[in-house]
Amino acid sequence: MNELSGLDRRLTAWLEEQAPVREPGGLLTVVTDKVARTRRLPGWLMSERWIPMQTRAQLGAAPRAALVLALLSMLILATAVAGAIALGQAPLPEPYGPARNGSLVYDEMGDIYLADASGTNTEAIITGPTFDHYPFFSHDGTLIAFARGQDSDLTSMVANADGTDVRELVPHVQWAEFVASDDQFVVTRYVDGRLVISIVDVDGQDLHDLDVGAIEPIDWVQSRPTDGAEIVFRGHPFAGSSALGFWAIGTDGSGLRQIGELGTLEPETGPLQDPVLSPDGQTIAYWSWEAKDGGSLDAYVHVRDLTTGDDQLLDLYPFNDTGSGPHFSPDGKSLLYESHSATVPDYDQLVIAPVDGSQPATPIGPSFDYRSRQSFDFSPDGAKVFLSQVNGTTVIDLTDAAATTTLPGIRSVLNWQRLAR
Amino acid sequence: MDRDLVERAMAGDREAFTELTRRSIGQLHAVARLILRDNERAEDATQEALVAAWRQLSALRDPDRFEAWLRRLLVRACYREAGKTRKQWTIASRIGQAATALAPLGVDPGIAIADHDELERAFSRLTPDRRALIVLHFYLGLPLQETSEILGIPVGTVKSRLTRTTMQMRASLEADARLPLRGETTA
Repeated sequence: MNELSGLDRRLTAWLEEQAPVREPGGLLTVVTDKVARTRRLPGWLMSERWIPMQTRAQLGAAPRAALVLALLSMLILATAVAGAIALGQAPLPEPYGPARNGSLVYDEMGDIYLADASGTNTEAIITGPTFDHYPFFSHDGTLIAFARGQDSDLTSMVANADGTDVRELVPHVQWAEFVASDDQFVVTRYVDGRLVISIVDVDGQDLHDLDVGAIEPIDWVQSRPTDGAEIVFRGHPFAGSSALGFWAIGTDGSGLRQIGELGTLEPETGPLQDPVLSPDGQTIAYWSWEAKDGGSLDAYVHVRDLTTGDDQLLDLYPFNDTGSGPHFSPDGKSLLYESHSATVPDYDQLVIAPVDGSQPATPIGPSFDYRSRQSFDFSPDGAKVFLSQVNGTTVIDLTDAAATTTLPGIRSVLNWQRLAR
Repeated sequence: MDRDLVERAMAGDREAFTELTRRSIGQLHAVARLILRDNERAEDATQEALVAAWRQLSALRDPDRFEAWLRRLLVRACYREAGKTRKQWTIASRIGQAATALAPLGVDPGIAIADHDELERAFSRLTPDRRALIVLHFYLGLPLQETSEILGIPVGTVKSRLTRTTMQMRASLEADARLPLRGETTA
């Protein structure tokens, strides 16, 4: 950016000269008249959601959970009673690793919906005047968590996978995630204006904070696979610091430790973005905006050992300038992330690369307009990738590269239920 | 922006909203004019954004975010307005792409001698979403985080696209500078 500073300055001056701020003649009157004839919409009807981009990405990328899928779909088609019984009897998947693909959960206009894996047989499971969004399954698929409320004041909620027994867990949350055992929930939440890390039972009882000393958590928090004994989080070493790092702490509050080196937030760098833990709990993947080998700024994917803190920069793709991701495959062997399309100007493209760098990354699915992308991830069985966009979701079969559209018109972030194999 | 005014408008006070409109309409229209490069369509987009703001104001929880929220509505209104002439975008995009292909990255193209007409051409060749990025960052002077929130894309992507867009403009300026030379060669 420094080498372009001459153009930057000239551009700013030219833009200011081109568009001096003045009231356009008559437009104020036109707008005022129109507003006078326009009715307000109630808040819960808003399709326009004002939520910080990071929060949206975090909640959307949050958990990849578990349980009863095809069975649930059939049960939904049958009767709720029969479904509930069958759910109770179904075997549960392991909390991490490949699982069978189950139902899809998503939100639409403030309500929560279920659909079967093909995007059909949709059913509203949580409705009413409240504004509910960003649903995701627990690791074992028996529960659904979601956010209630709008904008910057979200409350974490939990319900059974069929939408029954809705209960409030924690208000003022920034990030929420089931712990590995699915009997507790870990969140970052605002208390007296600052974020703290808290753990609460999924029945809403025993809410308590973890003492992380001077460290200032900023958003992301995740239960470390596979036993969930540690909580991994991102934050500043102290309030007001421009340094950024990863830390881990035991769920009992013991053993606070820093994971690897700190990064520094500067105008030209953005370290430790979009972190995600590997299914085996050994590493954390993230991307950083940085200059590699003194070259031009770009986005690079890293993998960091959670035990030793050793950090490895992955040279995955000739143009790995990415704005989102990465995600581990269920078996932990591959990474899925967003890069720039090699074929369509100004569009983006999902790519998959082996974590060990043994093969170059492979583009998958269609190129897409980055502005319409909501989220993407692997299916629980690892055989598919879904790409949620504002106009629907594309499911890409990794065996034959076939791309199909599901749930057209749904402006939502999807989450896929995990079932026992 | 006056927090009290925003809170009153959120509570349904039309006079408060009119005052907010009066204070913001000039800048909103200027931004729309830069993004759309058309005065009439900029007026349409500004009008759409402000009416949408009134309709949806109860969705805003934090009064302090009113200005950013309004800009987001405006940028989206500009996208919709520009989408009515999508064909023109595509052509403009291809021109920009061709110019990028000519650009030897890292070489100073002699920006200092670029005159206003050249900047006008280079800017007009950008697609509306790229112009929105440039306007938010260089005209309004918004930091990357706020630009990211208004455009609905991650901060890293804002940085990436800013870099590529300014490179594209630089390449476009350089391509313009080469045109007389090509003409002489052909002749």
